[in-house]
Amino acid sequence: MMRPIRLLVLLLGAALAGCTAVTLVEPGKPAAVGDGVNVMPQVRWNQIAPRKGQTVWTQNGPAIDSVYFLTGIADGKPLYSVAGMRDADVGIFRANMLPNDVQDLVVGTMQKEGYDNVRAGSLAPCPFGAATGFCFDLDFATKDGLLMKGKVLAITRNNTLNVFEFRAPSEYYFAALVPTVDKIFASVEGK
Amino acid sequence: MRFHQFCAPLAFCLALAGCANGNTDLAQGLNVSWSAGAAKRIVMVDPDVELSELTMGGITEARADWTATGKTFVRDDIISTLAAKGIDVAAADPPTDPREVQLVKLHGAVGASIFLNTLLQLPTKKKNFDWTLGPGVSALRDHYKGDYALFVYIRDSYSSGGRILLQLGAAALGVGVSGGQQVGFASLVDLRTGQIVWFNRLGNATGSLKDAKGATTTVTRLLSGLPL
Amino acid sequence: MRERRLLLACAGWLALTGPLAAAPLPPPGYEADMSGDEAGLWMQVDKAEAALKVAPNIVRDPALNAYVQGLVCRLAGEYCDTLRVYIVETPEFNAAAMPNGAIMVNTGLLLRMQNEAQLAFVLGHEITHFLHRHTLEHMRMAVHTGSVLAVIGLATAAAGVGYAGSAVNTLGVGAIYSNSRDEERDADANGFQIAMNKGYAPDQAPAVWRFMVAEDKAREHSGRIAFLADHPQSEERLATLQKAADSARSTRSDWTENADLYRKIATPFLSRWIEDELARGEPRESVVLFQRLSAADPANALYQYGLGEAYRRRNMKDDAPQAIAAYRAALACAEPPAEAWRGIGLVAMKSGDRPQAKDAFTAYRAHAPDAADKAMIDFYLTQL
Repeated sequence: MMRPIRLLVLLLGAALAGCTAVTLVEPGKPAAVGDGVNVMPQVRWNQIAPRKGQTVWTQNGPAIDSVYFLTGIADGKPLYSVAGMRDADVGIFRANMLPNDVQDLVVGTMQKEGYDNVRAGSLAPCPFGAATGFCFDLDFATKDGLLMKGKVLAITRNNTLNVFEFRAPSEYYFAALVPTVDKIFASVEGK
Repeated sequence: MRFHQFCAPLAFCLALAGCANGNTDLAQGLNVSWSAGAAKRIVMVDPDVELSELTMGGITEARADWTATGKTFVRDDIISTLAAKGIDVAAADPPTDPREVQLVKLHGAVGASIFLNTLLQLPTKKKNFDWTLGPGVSALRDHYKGDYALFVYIRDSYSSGGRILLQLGAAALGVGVSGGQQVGFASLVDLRTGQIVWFNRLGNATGSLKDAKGATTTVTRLLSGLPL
Repeated sequence: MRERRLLLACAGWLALTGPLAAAPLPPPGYEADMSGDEAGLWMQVDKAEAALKVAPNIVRDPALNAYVQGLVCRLAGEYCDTLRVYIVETPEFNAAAMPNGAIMVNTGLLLRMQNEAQLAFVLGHEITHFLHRHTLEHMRMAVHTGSVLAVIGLATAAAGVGYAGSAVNTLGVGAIYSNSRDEERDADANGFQIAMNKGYAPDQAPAVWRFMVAEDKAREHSGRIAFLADHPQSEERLATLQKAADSARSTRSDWTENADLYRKIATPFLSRWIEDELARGEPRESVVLFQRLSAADPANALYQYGLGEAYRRRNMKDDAPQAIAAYRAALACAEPPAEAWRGIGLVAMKSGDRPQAKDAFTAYRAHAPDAADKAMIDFYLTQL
């Protein structure tokens, strides 16, 4: 069984290859996070190497906390690539997916990414800017047994999917950061 | 979310080795303080020490005997170093309480982040060393009654005889063959707040943990700059 | 640790000379070699077990543990005291015996067993690896550190410095080691004997292999079912076990399967294990699994529900009506899960059958007033 290479290792490699930049996101003005969507950062964030459709923010580094802004996921595409797996095997988005299906897709993708015991709950409609998207909570564990929590806000429109995902350890970090993340999610504006 | 599509990871040049003399980080405005009316006491979390042999074929094989003695040296040296400063050490057992287990695992993730930060600097951490395990550390404090907790992590590999020969032979030919390496860090956590107040990275190839004298050298380096 | 390894060595010596009957005697001149790589492995395995003990996904339910531990004990005879069972909540089908007597059994395996006999043959196989001290020359340790620095380990390994030996896999992903072909044949043969000697129906041994192979065939992508990856040459071994079962079958008439007992033990956990299985995001394999389980036990509402979910998620041509049929079968059983209604609603909604969706979601909300996703289902109802 191929094991997904940890994001961390790749970041190390990428950093030393000189092609990853970590930039500062300042609060006080809207930040573009993809697909024409802006959010208000609330506080300073470290932004890791944005690429089309994927922006990552972190306070303390991705080994601890991260907010993923995944935008413009098209029909037939996975949420993101997982090393060593074909896209079809990771699981793909279909434009006619209901929120329950997207929730299942997030869970399945995280399992393949290498997390254990991923469970989702509290699925509900939630505002995505002026539109109505949906949100749910996550509980999962790293392979090292560190318990984690997550929060997801997503929307399907124009046959594409946007997924915003916050992940942090259960011990201290999730509760410490989630009020800020809630405000970020509530500040979505744009397309 | 993978970045390998952009940047093929180059051979990792072991930047850790490049930090030959280690690196100490200290939380800003650190004011070491102790609980009133009690002896100075810290909790030494079970040191995560492992010694291995680097074989000629380049395989690392864990050595139980070296690890057992090496870990004992490290523990004893830490205790005596701190005793000399008038500080008691509560040597914690490997945790069984679920909260303590999570705290130790969290420390692993935070330690990894601190390490990663030296390579991939986060702008928000540039001017301040600001890392925490959160107030949940009170679980450790209540259990062991210390004001600070010391975490130690060491991985040490030693070239086998065959490997050394190989290195010598290769060097004669002008080719580099890696020898045993030592990687480690120590961190000090304030158990009243959860803040990591001190973090020290071990550099490359210091004292051998296979013997008492070498271990003392390593522990001295490991604890250099300890603000206690 | 010394005593354990001595006992282990005794067990191995004895196993080479006969069945598990006699009291252990140390082979002359045996001495633990702390400087060897075997000792290094022991240290890591002991560390792995220590980490297992506190892993968040260890199942600690006393009744389930007593049952599996009891079964291991019965199979291992007087070596019972040297074996410790850890039940790991992970949907991967696997079990593994560590050289120090710790045996990991995944809940994914427990979900797939149809009776106690099947579990007995799997455990017999693993116990044999331990009892016969199978060599670990092909040892692979999955690299996951306990508390620190997966980054450093992996990064330095990539640089050729190699700290791979420092880490332990504690959470049941794959076996800790793989054995040679001869050892696998030995584990099959001896494991078969151990379980059969306790009266377990010999046909259940090849049955396990057969359904594992079937599920594995449903895999589309790289990577076999973990148990199969660690126990290769499945076709050959299935044939061998089938032959053994053929010769043994008629030697008695009162073979034990204990399907009812096993069902009773597993029932409290099925809902959760099925959810774990579905969360894997491998609906093709889940379909094969739940087809088998529900065919063998059609009155089990949860298996039917699992089958419905698997079809719905697989979402190939004609899966939608199959899903509805399975959900309806679940609802016709005793104690159906309310989620079966939700499943019908989701399928109906996507295929545009609004009245059916509305009825189904309404029924779901009535049967599961506190469902975690009730806000979403209520929202669907406003759109129908």
